[in-house]
Amino acid sequence: MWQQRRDVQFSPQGIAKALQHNATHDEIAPALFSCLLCGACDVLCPEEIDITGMISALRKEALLQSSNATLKEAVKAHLAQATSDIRIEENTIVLAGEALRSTPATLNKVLTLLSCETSAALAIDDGDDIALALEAGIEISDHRLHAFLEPLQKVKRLYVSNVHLLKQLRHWLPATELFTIGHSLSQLNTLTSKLNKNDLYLIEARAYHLDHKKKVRHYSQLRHERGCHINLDLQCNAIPTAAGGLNAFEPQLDSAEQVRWILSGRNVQRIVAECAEDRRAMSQVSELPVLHIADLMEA
Amino acid sequence: MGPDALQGIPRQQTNPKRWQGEQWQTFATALQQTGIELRVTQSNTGTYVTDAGGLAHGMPHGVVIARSATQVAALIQLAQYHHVPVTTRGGGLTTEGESVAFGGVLLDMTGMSRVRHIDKEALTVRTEGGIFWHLLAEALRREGLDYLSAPLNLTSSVGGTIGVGGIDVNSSKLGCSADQAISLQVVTPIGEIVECSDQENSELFQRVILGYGQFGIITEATLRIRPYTPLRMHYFYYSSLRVAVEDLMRIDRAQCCDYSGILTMMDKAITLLVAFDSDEREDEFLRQHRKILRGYGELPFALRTAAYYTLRPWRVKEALYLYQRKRQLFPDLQPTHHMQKGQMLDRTVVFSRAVWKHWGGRQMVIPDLACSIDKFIEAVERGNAVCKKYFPHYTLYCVGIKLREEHRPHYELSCFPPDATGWAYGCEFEPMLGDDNYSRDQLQSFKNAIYDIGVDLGTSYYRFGGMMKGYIRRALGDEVVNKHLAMKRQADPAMILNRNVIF
Ligand code: SF4
Repeated sequence: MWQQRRDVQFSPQGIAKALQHNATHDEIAPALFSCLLCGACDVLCPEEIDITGMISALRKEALLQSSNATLKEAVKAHLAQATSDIRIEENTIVLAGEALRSTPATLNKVLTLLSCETSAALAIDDGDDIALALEAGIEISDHRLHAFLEPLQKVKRLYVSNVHLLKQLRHWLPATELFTIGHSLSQLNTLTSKLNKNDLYLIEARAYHLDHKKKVRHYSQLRHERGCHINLDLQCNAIPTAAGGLNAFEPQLDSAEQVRWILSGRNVQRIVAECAEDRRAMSQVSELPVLHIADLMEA
Repeated sequence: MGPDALQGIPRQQTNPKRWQGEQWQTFATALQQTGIELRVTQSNTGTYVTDAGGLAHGMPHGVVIARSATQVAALIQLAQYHHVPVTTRGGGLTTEGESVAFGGVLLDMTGMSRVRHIDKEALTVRTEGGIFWHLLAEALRREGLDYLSAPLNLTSSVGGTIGVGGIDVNSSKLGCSADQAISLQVVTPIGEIVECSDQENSELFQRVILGYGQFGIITEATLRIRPYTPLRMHYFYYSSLRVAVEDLMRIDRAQCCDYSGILTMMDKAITLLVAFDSDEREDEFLRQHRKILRGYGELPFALRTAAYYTLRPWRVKEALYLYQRKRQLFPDLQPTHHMQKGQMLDRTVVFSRAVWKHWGGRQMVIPDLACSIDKFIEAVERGNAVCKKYFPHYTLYCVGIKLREEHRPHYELSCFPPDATGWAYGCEFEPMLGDDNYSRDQLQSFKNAIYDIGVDLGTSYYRFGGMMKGYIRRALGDEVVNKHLAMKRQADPAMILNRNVIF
């Protein structure tokens, strides 16, 4: 938020201070709904405050008190009515998300790459609408939730593109092994060995900050070994593109400006994104070839 | 409490009286007519209620987010006309309320935080004044460049730092952060936009640099920069504060390293940090200068300390504290993801985060003293005794600051004491407050006890806001203060800009 707004009101500190001084939900709503929930501030907070948790909770409260009513209605209308009760029998399922589904060739590569032990299948209902509602802080009906979760009950391993969904799935399906698609692919040496110093590798920021301690080591090593650029700042936090999710649904921050900042001063010839939404955002701004990490399979 | 209840008890008033706001409404209306956004709700003004020190509390009548020099100039012209005080604020890292507005307008400079231009040939950067140093570093690093010296704190702003000094662990070689400024765009207290440097409008430049925000608002700055290099770090350990400080001054004078400083755990485990920009410098130091240092390596020091406490079992609590502190702190001074081949990639991030985590807290209680070489050891030892008296655990941070003779006019009435030549030395005294509750009076008394050493020894004060109103005459004398006060009155007829900070 800070990079674009340069206004303390649009920072966790500003939100907290405003609340201490009796701000109404309407007063802080612009800041609350501008946050990308990227989690960089969670990692930075010296007092280890769960800032994204605080912002998510405040969003819920703000919506209950009817701030941003149009957003509430729009996201609610977006919630699917799907009621498929068919249990999925495969062990490994991919919840690809709209952006990845829109590029079938890449999606096929993802499925192949994630099919190492058992073949990975694509979920028909990948819960995009639920992810959006979770991000916005909007209640999801039991009916919709049941329709989404019921088919997944027997799945052993789930690969998820959306981190808000993944976070919640940890509670909803505690016995299931859960992974993010991008990070899982970044662990395949067959792919990362094709990165070089002329590449900009785009980490999916939300997934990265979620398990920061573990991932910071992985990506530092990747950068060190391959010499590629990575969208990390000096504090080793990932700079988000602001693509996808709630910001795509109701834009508060300019994704193109984020992308330009990520690219600024970097002398690269190719961009490799581990998230389909980031790839899309990059190709809208940059003239350089932009690949999904799965595309490195054939590069 | 009766009016004479505190008779005989020396007190330093640090919070000024709130400005009553007589002309506020007319001013606010006029300002809004110019299209400048003025935020007046409590949720906005309350954001700035205190500074990093957390002891001074005050509310502005309204807040303006700085967006351009023209906007700032328009605001200042109106404020001057209506006699409305304006307090400028960057990262808000002052500790005595210098960036807290006791009424009037709070001008938040962080709204002006863009890098304007990087000149790779001339090795200069032009940036807006409200930028945080670490954001400037982000932009420079993309070009393989770095700033020269900046506070080891992620939320200090460039403009604020230039106004008070700013030190880094390379200040003994490169001087204070303010000395890196080549030219400035300043909005004067009467609302003129003026470019100044040592060549152009030099008097204004001299007054604004290290000028506590009295003579103008820094809206843009051109700074010297350099190619980026990672750091080769070495730590030496001492059990004597005096010996460590002597060694620090010795290596600074020998100019045999690129970074130096002292960090302590009370006065029991003192670490002298020495670092280099190149392998050649490091090799030369190890060959020629290492032997002059009386500090130990980590293992020999640990063995000596263990032996010391084995013979003094009644001090087991202290030994345990030191051990635990070392275990918590040391990994954060060399985090693997900020190191490469044994070199530290970004000192500001590593040290700032370590400072936040291990020294920080909700309040920054860090009084400091800035001295000439001759007075430094005494100042450190006396300050250490004060720390011991007030707190069970504390730390000291000492660095040298190279002075530039040609910048003498900048230093007048600054954090650099007039008797300092070659180098000034700074020491911060920082209690570990932990979860203990200390009253504001306790903390303020501690700070005043440190500042009183400065008055007694004839030192100055630096870094987080530098000199305070309550001490400036006692420390630097009436003559120089009166001279600057006269200049201030001329430059700022209604005395609106950063009132009560030093005058
Ligand atoms: S979660 Fe990301 S966008 Fe939101 S406040 Fe934290 S750093 Fe900013």
